[in-house]
Amino acid sequence: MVFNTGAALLDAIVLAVVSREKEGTYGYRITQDVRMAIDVSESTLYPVLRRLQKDDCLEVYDMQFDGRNRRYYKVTDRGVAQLNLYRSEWKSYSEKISQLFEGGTTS
Amino acid sequence: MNRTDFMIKLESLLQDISTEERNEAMTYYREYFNDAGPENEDTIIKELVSPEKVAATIKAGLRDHDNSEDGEFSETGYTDPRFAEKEAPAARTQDGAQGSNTQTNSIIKIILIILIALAVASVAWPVLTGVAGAVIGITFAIIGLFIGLVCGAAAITLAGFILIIMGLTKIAVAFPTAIFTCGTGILIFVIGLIATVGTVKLCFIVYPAMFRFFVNIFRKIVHKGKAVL
Repeated sequence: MVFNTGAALLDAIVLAVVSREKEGTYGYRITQDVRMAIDVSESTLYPVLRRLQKDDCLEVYDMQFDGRNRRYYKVTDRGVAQLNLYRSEWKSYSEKISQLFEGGTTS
Repeated sequence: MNRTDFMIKLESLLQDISTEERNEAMTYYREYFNDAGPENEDTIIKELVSPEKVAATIKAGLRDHDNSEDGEFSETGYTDPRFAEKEAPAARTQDGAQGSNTQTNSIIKIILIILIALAVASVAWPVLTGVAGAVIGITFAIIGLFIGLVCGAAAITLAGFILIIMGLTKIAVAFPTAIFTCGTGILIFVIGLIATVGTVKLCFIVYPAMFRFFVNIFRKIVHKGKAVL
């Protein structure tokens, strides 16, 4: 991708991906989902998930799957609030940029 | 490199972080491999690049969290320096740290300069006071020497004058002796007077010269200081 994905945007994307699953989702799947939108390396997301977990935006729980343990990530209330903030910020930001790119023809 | 080698190497590279963080990271990547399945193992190892890179990313994330107040939500960097795939992991981590540490660096530099200045001053101070003491001592010695010369000359003049008086008092008792004493007195008086005038004149030459010498030195120091600054 030509544009850099900053820390805040990466946080927002991860929160959005995790929040789509009501029961929570796991590391490998989060990576696959995020990679459908942006090109990140496999190692990019662990620090992001860990940080969001420490900031109480994500909570983790372990569940048995296929005879082994699997760690699930779920968005907390604080995470939802943070995601909503990101959503509105992104909306105004992307609108302004689009407006500039498309030559100011919007109303 | 297979999965087991990768995980062993990663764990050894994470020895310098807390046990909790190491376990978290190891759990994450163990599950990651499990969820990807054995058929994707090679692809994932290739995409993770190297255990060194993964370890560097984990550590960078930890450091980032420590000063999240000023770094986390900024528009710049984050993905750029740490996830660029060209440089060695060590170099990459350093790049990531540089931006946020610039201010700290300049503060550290100022503190270092002050410390060095204090260290130099503590060594230079005794030397400087020693040199200053010597200069002041020599100056007063020279001043004293010339005052001494003037005093000596004045004393000779006075001695001559006293001899004249003594000669005059003896003039009625022993005329030749009195004349001789008076003559010697006059001679010594004149020599003393000449010496006094000479030494006083010498003082008028030497003291201003000394004064100019010190003014020049002082001026040089000040100008040098200005040039350095």
